[in-house]
Amino acid sequence: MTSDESEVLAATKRFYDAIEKMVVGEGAGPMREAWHHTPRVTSAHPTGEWARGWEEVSATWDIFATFGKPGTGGTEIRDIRVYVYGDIAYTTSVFVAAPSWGGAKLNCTNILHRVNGVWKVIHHHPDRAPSMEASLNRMVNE
Amino acid sequence: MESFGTDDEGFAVGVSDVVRAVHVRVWGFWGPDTAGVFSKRVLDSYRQGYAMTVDATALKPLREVGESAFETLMTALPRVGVQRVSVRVSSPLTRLQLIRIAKGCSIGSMIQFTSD
Repeated sequence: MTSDESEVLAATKRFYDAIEKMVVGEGAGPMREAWHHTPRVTSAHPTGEWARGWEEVSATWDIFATFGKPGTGGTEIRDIRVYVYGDIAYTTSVFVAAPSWGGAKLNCTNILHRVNGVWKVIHHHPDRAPSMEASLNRMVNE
Repeated sequence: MESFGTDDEGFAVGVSDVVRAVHVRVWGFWGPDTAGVFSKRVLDSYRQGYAMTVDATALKPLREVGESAFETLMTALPRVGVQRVSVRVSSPLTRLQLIRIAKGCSIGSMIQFTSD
């Protein structure tokens, strides 16, 4: 693995660590750190909607973060593959949601951009996961 | 309906005396200008004894400023006499956000959410 690939892998793991931190109630701060904050970022979510631009993207992560609770973690990230093209890279992976969030297994693609030597996410796209939506519905109605 | 905001983000309010309801339509990703006038414009249009419908099928998940606008409105609804609100929504995240706000304002039981 080249040093570029190692850096992209580390940035991707920071993104998924940030999801786990949200799930266990530590908020969206680490997720904010994982992204470049520009109008030219995009994200889809397992619940299905698109967010375009950092303002919209961060709003969606903030909503997910409101569902976090200590002791409910257990997300997993498997089989991360890294592909680097200069200052742009993409990764594919399999994300397993925490059991408390439905436990779905999702194929995911992330695109990362290196700016001033730092790789961060500019695009995220997971499979849709009706089981996650159902779990969040249960949580909000508890 | 009287509209506020732009094609990209805003809201509209109208009153139907035929069905005795205030109809609200909300759309886009709100900034402070739209959020700042939302609750007052809707409450100014409300008529005692009327129901309220909210078409939120084009509303995106909102940041704090948008959440605050809905909190202000939802908190005021019982005070002005609203007894029933029907909210139609498409985005699952927007629905979760609005349900959470409604529960926080202790009006979850008077709002019915339907998915588009």
